[in-house]
Amino acid sequence: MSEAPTLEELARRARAGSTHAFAELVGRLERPLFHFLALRTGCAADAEELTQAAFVRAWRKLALYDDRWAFSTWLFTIARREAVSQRRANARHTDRRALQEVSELHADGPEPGDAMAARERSDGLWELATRLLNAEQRSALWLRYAEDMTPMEIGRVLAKQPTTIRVMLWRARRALAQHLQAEFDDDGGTRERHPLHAMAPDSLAGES
Amino acid sequence: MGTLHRIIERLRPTDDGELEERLRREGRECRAATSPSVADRVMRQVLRETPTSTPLRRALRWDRIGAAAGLLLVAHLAWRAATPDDPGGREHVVPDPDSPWVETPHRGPSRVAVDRASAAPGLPWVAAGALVGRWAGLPAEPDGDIQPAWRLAVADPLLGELQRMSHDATRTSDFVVQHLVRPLDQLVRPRFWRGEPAQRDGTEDR
Repeated sequence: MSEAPTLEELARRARAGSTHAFAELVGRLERPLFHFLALRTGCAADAEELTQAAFVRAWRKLALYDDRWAFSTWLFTIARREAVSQRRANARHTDRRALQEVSELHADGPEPGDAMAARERSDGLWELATRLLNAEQRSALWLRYAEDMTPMEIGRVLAKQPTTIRVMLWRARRALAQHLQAEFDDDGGTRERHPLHAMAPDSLAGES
Repeated sequence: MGTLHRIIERLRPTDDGELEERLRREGRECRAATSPSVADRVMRQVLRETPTSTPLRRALRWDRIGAAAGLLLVAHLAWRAATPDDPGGREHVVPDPDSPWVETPHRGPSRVAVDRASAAPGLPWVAAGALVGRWAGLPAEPDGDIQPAWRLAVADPLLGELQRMSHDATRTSDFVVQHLVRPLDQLVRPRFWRGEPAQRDGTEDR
């Protein structure tokens, strides 16, 4: 059995006019793109709308895709620009309950275990990231750890230098670590050592 | 803390491996979770826009499409002239047993479509559409099918009109194969196969 075509191969076919290839691209990438946009915008409904808009724009602009780069990087770049445009257009207030809304959506799944996992996620690091970090930091963090992109690829998506991305990632992690450390301290140290305590050393806590 | 120390702190490789691992794990869980599907809406919009979308607009050669449409119209007029008042037809076209459309080994996407379509009664218009679509510079799908937009925009109306005029799908199919698809192929063959391997399946092109 032949291997499934890569995203880049599908993109080349789609660029040649194949709607079947583009449909497969949409099928493979709609979920990652939606979650990226949900985290970035803080609103599941906006994320859904933007996901659709990003794919349609990608189809219109396929002729401009340079297949020396990963197709996902190109698509995420389009999605980010769509999100920026939408935010400028309606100047909508960011809904801080983003991941909760997404989690409720997840909880509609058939398995009770999924709903429980979703609730746990809403108390997890990404929910914390939604509350503590700005959209660019959240986006960088998501692309790095959920999408496994390199700083250079993230830089292309967010239109920033790789060095800037590294600093942005470091600051985002530090903000999360400091918050977790503060939660631990508020507990008066009555609990066991916070599992992430080790990654919030004094040197980081004192960094301004 | 000194400036140099701060710079080193910022640029050093991350040592917060536990946080990174948790971000990865929870990110993967979140990424794998269900999400609303937009695929249907996206593809509906894509197909709706296809006739004027950038890739296809660039791919289409409107001069060739015009020429192809002209040929189809000539065939249409020829059909009307051949069967003015006689629905039974005076000269029923008998498919050529040596027809290359079925027996010639496949040499490319559009030929695949031609062969398949010719073997199926009532579908030679698909073959014609594939051929003129290819001639017009429109890329074919890997399975030889032509773009729905092309078919809807050009091939369907013209060839559908032929079938309506004839009241006889089988006879129209034969007619289209003999008097439209085959001559058209002979006409465009040099361009059609230009740049393609001459002996893709080890068979000389005719």
